[in-house]
Amino acid sequence: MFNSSPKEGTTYSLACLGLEGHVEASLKSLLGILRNKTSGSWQHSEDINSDVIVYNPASPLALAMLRRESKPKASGRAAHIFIPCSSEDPGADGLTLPLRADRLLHCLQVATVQLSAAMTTIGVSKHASLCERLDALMQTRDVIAVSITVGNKTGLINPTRQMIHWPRSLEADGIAQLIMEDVTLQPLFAADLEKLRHMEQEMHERMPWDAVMWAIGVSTSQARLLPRLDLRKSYKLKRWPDFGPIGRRSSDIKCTALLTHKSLTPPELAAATGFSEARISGFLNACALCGFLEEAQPMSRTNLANNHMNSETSIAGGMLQRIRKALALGAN
Amino acid sequence: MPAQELKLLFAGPMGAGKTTAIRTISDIAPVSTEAANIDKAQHGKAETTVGLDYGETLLEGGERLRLYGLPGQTRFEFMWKIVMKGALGMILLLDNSRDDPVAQMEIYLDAFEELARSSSMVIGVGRSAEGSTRIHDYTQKLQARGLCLPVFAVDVRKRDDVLLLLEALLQQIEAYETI
Repeated sequence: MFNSSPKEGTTYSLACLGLEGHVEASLKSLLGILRNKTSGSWQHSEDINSDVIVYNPASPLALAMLRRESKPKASGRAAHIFIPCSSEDPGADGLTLPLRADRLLHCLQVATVQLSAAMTTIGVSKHASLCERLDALMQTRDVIAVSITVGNKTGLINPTRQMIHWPRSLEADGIAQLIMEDVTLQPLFAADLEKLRHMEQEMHERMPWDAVMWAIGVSTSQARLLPRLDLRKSYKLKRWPDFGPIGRRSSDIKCTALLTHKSLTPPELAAATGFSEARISGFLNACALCGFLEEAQPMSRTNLANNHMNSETSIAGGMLQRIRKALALGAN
Repeated sequence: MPAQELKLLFAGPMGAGKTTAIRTISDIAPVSTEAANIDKAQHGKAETTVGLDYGETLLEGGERLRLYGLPGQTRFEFMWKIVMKGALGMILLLDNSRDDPVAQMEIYLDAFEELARSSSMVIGVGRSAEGSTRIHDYTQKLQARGLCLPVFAVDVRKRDDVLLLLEALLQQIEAYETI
């Protein structure tokens, strides 16, 4: 499964909002039928703060909650997962009436993945990867910089300027130390401005953050997508990254070339490239950390499949393959 | 993509490493037209390419990937347009130790706009540790021009670095073809 697997024994709660009684009863019944088919364990709940809310899009309360959830969370807390449910087609992310087991199973699987990743980052921070911890801090409202300490060196990450301040030039060895050793992160807020300026003055090297963020993304993601990335959303890249000394992998080059030209969901990118979900997760996390991953309109699966096929079988594709073969390209 | 000659271009200012890059991956001894450099203001090297450099890589089935190195001096710009016709793509090499290498990149982006717009161009920056220009500065300039091209710090004396540029170029072309 894409993304992090839920810990064994994890139970998630699901509540209904604005649905008619018989629909709610049908949902509870289906949850029972699907008990052994889902990755996590699911329980129906009356609690409006449940992990997942299946809601009627015509319900004003549900819409109000959705609006509230869509606002950025200062605490970085994981949002609820909202699943629309109506007799009219609510789209790929929703349930259509009458309810179907296969559709519900799909929605639960997607929700499980998102909740699991969110809990890993926010709720059990000691288990969160460096990539997740750093991203959570940078996404936290009012954080103006993040101090990063490894060994006896402390640096600064400035998300606004996308720069890194470090006591001395940060080459491959320094980056390797960052991704291999215990790293302490500390957020700095507006109230810490004086401290921030003092730290900046003490650090002689100031460099664009691409190479460092890229290395952290591809190397410390622990094979799971960042919680803020969504399996169902399509993403595109605004530009090529500076891979720096660590990230010059054929897989990254291939994924970057694809995503600078078209928008794909994470599973579509994995399918189009043939790379493992773990590798795709690391790649996307790195792009997200660097700040050039953007959400885009989803592309139809039909188009994607056709395009992928074309690249393999077209005259141009064949010619490029012959060049690759002659030069032994794309080995890693 | 229409059938075309398998032609790959290496461009860039004098001394950026075009001849070296071709030599690195050519299966034949490259044909060069070196002459004494009379333009020491542009670069201090003793000899430079005044015509074209030429190399070849043999492909399966006997086909050849033809490698052309374009002369770096802008007075040979008339040749650039001729050689560009039907090219599969271009590797643009820049020298970071020179004055304003980003401006030099722009000269080539203007001259080979068609290749740049069709994602058939990749940029290699030599001597990246020298000078104050960072890879980030090149990508920012590209973004400002609405271009999304790969830029790598490279040492074209290393075969792996030249292959990296080639791989990125081929992936770009393939991705562009599937839009």
